[in-house]
Amino acid sequence: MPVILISLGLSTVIIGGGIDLSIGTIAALVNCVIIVLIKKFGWDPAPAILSGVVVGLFFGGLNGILISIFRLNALITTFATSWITGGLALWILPQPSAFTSAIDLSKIYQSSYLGIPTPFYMLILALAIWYFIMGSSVGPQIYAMGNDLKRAYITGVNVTKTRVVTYVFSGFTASLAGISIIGIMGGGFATVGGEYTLPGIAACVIGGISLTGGVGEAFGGVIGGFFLAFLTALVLAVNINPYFQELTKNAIILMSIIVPSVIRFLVRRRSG
Amino acid sequence: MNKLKQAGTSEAATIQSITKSALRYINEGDIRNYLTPVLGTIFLFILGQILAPGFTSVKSIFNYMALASLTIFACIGQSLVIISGNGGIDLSVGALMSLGAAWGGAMSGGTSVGILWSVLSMGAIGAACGLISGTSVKYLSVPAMVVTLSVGNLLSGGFLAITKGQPAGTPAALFKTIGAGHAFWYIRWILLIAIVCIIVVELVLRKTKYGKSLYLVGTSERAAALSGIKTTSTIVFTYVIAGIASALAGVMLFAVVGSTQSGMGDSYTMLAIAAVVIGGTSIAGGKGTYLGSVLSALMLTVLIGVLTVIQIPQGARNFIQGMILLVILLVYARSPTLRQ
Repeated sequence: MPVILISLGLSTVIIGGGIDLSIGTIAALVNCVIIVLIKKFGWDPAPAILSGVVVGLFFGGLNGILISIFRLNALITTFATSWITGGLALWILPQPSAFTSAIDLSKIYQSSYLGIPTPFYMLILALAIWYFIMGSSVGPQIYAMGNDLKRAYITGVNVTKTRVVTYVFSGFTASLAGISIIGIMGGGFATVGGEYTLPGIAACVIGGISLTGGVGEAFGGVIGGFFLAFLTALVLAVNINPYFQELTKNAIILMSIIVPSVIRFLVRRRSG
Repeated sequence: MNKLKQAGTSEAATIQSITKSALRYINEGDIRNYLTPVLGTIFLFILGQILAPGFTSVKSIFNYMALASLTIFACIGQSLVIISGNGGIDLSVGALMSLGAAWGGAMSGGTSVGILWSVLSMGAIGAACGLISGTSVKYLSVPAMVVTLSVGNLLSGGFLAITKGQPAGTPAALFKTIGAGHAFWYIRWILLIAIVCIIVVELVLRKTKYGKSLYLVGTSERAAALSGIKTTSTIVFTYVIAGIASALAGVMLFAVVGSTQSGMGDSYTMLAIAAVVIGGTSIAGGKGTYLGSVLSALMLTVLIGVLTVIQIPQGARNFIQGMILLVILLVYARSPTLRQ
């Protein structure tokens, strides 16, 4: 589920012509903030989760402001913030810590409500917000910005606002992913989140989102995420030597990025 | 009297022409780029001395120079790729270095002949990775960071497969000498190798046809293509060179550390990018010098030294590094407004 949520956020940013390498570490930070608030400061889960989401939104917004108002390179900025957020996560929670509380979050996470597994409600929430954004005037502006930044600016798109919206949304999905890490792993892990960034990008590519921006549908990212999750589960299920699991998994991700591009290259060559 | 004056003026003219030819290699923009890291390094050494007396001695200065050599090697690939422009960046440097270290440990088997094998085979692996990245970037138009990041992850998986998750490898005697031995006085062998590297890379960038076409391709690929440069092969070649350089940097890392740990080279990706950006290389490509990256690498190494001396936890160190990169970006690397 974290990969799917992250690829939803990433796909929005990528459609808008940007990239967010910090999304995984933001998820890790949110995860750690929640656990630290609950365990160290004895907060109730609900306000802790809420403040975790606020942290996620803050760093998403920070990315957006740095990139749009201060005109920094999206790739390197989010690379830097990925170190900042990942470092913060490791700083506040140096050792992985199990989750213990009156309300067992991972139990809630693994149960289902009205016949639908609980984690899907997070996805539905994120998708609902995505369709709300798409339905408003900002939606088409994201596509315009991804297609051609200069032309979008000239035709009157508020580039700054639109860009910040995409990054805040990606921060939001990152915090949902951070919450779901608690559900899956049953605790706080500072180093887990960062590993989700690249599969997220791969999921976007598989889902038909062009990395140069302006093309694709965020739902494609979600489908790509599902596909990738199943594929990885399949690989791990066929009894590969544990030392080679990481290699196999990453080889599949690399292939899933390169192969669609090869196909596109061949198609273009035949038609052109 | 007249003759004397004439001799004087001719002498002055010779000096002038010599300084002019020397200055040709350092233009004014470069000086600012060199000055920042040099002043930063001096400041950090003073700060270190205040915080922890004994931090700044001749011995420790040369120690830091030797430590910086590793980042300097890591910067070769990163500099070339970033100069090549079009969003070029190499996020596989660290993973390639980790793998190089593991490979260096596994292949050399503690003998000197083994070193040759490990260097050659690791160079080939680096070249293959560079070829994958380069062709994906150039032919398949996959953004450089995506393909290099995933190649890097693939290599981390490879690292786990080679080492089986355990620290391994005994360095050969020659490795130990290169990594930790002193050539003379306080100068270590690795520092000498780094100096040779700096001279070679700078000469290649400034003097050869490849170097000049690299800058032109980075500035404007279209203009370069129109003026008859083979842009595709230049860029793919750049990634291949970068792959080889990072792979061999990993073997060096093994020589210095003497054993392999998981993810030991990973931090060098970040360090190399930070060093290249601080050193005045434009992220948009086509501008920058390797020497600038080298000086910044030294500054960053001393910075980490200071942070280690005052005992800051790992997470906070990562945080500070990220903040520094961000501040530098804010100062140096802002793109022009859309209105222009």
